[in-house]
Amino acid sequence: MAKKESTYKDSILELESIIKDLEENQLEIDDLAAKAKRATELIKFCKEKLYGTESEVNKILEDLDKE
Amino acid sequence: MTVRKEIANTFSDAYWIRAEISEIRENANGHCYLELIEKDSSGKLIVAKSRASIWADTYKILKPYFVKETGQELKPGMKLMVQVSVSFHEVYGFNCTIRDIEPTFTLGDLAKKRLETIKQLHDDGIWDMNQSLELPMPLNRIAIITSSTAAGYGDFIDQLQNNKSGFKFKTSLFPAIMQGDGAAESIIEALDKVYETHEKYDAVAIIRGGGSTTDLLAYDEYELAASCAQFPLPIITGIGHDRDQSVVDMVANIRCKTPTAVAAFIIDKMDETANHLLDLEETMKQQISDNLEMARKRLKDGAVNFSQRINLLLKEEEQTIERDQINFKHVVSLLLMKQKQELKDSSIKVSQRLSLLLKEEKQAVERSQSDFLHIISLLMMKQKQKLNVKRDQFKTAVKNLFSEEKHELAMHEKSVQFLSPDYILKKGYTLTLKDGKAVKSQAELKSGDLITSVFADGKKESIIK
Repeated sequence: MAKKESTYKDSILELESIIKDLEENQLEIDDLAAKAKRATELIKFCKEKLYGTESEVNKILEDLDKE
Repeated sequence: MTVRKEIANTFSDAYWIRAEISEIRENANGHCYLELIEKDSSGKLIVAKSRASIWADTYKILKPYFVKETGQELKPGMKLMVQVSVSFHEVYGFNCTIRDIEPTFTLGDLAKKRLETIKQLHDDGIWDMNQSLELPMPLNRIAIITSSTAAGYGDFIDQLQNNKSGFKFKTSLFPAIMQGDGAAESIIEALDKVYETHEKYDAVAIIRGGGSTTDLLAYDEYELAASCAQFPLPIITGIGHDRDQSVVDMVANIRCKTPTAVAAFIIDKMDETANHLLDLEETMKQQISDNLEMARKRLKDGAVNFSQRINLLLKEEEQTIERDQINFKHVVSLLLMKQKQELKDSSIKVSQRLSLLLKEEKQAVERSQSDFLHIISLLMMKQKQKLNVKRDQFKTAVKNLFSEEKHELAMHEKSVQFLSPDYILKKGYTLTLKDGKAVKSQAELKSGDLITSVFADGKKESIIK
């Protein structure tokens, strides 16, 4: 299926799995910072997909040039 | 003439007949000319065919009535129930003049066809293919199939792009004829075009903005419905009609009444997605702080637990040692007692044995002692007896000897008495001593020598002249 879609979905799944780990308190304190960072990245990525960013706009412009 | 009269006489009434339109056209005068056919049960072979006409004055009443009742225009392929009168004209030949029309028959036929289409889609196993597709997240790349000229399209795009939440949409238009003749084919063509780049889109919106709601038969056609059902992307319809759902609506993933509703649905989905993300974000933040709090608490509790545990362990260890000690003592004392007992037993045995031995020895010694004493006393007795004999003999001998000697001695004593110095000295003789020795000659003396003269009654010293 579409690449972008699966990436968003994967991000959400990963995010949910991180949260699940958090809820079940399965994370070592060592991992916590790394996981928090990763989750923030994932959220940022997903927001980009929803609201768009400069880079996304640029990409569309590139696509337009190709066509 | 004869034929014309004959037919007029024979078919003087009006008749209700069922037929299918194979051709239809209106002329400038407002008359409508048709070709009616009847097919055999297989639906392939034409078994009857006739020209027919609806004269303008009738047609202008019948046409809107039919459209109002059926939502359809008269067109080829449509089945009709019409009231006709039959006539024959020498120039124009046989003709049916349509006087009335029964729209419910057509409706029934359309409904039947629709049911057949639905059944066919089920039989082909494709009925719920599109419905079973999951709507992607996010839903923001939309391929739009609609008429490029329709005002509804612009409104649709505006509605999407100016959404309150600020979502970004990527839309592409795939133009198609959305109603009337050729609509089905045109929409299928547009779908094929979308398919070529379908990985660039999340969904396809088939929308029809405004305009007449008549002639939407295309959306009940098997070919279009099958294309939609099998399309790999979810299809969202907004065809905009008042009647029942079309077959395309039924097979589509999502059906909305109008393009506006489609746009609203898509934005709702995006809101849902965004809210989900927001929830996740919130949950994550909360969980992270909870986890930190818990870790902190655990650390604290851990320290307390640790010391408690250590104390407990120490106590347990102490108890164990104490218990071991007691056990050890007990065991040792038991051992000692046993040892003692054994020792005692053996010492008793030894002492018994020893005393027995001693007794035996003693008896032996006593026995030999008494033996010895006995012998000794015997010996001594013998010796004593011997000694007594000897003593007696000796006594006798000594007694004898003594009496002889005594006699002799008495004689000697008398002779010695005359010869003794004392006796001589008393007669006036002196004894001269020089240096303790008797002086026997005067030559031995020189003048100045000290001499001692011994008299019977004492001594006198003198010096020679």
